[in-house]
Amino acid sequence: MIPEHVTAAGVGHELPARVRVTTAAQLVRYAGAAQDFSGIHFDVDYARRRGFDGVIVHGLLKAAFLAELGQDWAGAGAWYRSFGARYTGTDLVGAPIVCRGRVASLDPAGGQIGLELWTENVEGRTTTTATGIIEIGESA
Amino acid sequence: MTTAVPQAPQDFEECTVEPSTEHLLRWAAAAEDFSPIHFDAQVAKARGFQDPVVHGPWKAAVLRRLLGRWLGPNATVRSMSARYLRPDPVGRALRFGGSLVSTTSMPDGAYELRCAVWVRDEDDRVSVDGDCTAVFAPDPGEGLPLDRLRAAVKLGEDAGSFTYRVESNDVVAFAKAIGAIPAADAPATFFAALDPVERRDLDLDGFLHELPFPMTGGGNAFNEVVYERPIRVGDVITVTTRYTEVYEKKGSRGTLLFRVRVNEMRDATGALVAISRCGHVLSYRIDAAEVQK
Repeated sequence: MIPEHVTAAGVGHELPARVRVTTAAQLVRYAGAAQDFSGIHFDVDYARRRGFDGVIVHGLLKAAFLAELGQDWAGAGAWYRSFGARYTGTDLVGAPIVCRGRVASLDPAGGQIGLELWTENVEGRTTTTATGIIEIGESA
Repeated sequence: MTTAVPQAPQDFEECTVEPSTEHLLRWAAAAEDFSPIHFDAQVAKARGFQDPVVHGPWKAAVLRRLLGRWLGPNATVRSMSARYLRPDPVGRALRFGGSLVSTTSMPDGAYELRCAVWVRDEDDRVSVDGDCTAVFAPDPGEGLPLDRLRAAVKLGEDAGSFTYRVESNDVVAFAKAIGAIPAADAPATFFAALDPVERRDLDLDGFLHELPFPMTGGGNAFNEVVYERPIRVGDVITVTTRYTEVYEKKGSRGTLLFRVRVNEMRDATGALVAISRCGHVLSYRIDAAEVQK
């Protein structure tokens, strides 16, 4: 059930990293798609009044980047049984976000892949951490 | 300063004012109401009044100002009505009074106050009567109003249910926004698009943005989801939100206020699709506010 490239990679394998560079347009697009219109994600003045250095990326958008990283690597038929993200730092719009992950567990019998995922900023600081359990195969 | 919630029933402290010609002239000028019955004795007489008569709205304005004193700084008058029942001649003392009729607590922790107000002449005849509704917001006190917040979000109980239809366009727009290829199964974080709080369908704690403390940051602290199956195009999902935790904690950016909520998502058949948890944090500089006072 678990694809061969995953089993071959094994626990501890690091997923190929991906760099995402957000734009103001992307944040607006996300705000619309997620119906999350907090001004800290598009209004510089409001974001500064709230104590940020500028417009910041939605935590959930970073979470989405990480979830996609794992999903794409796991391949066709993969879906998340569970996913969770914690936001440990903010990322300003336009600042590159490095998305990384590693295989934390493999359960070939249950068809489950456990992942640890995180984002780093250009200074190497971790700004999001996440865990996910991916299942391979038909969902209910 | 602590201001207690006014308890009904309660009579307000009466106030006596003797309206002078100067009062009426000032009112006439300010309100641009120059009907001569208020300052020209001859015209007043010709119209059947013994003396110039006091403007009705002046009496209402005095009542309105007294309401501010009676109800205190924590109350905001939402509406007031006044009926003018008889003319009052200038120079005769008028008594202004009223009472608090009811105090009703509201879901967000504030109180609705209903008042009756009146003006009486020297012979105790009612010349104005009216009603007023006001909202009383309890003092935040020294720190964050956690009890008010817990009541407002109905901590531990269902706070609200909303039904959302998952259309193909919604999933496509979401996938595009995160840079994913759209499919019939929505992306793993699509649960966030069905959150009644982010969508502002459920807004129980808006008063947190009006506290007298500078806000120094805020946003989601974490998101988690467990799926029974992916959310799919065509789903009709009913989301029920429940707040499970409200607490504060000292942090490097001030006092942190955490609220944790759980969304239960069920499909049209009532089957569980997913349960998500979201922790949200707001940070306040409470000490700085003390300095500003």
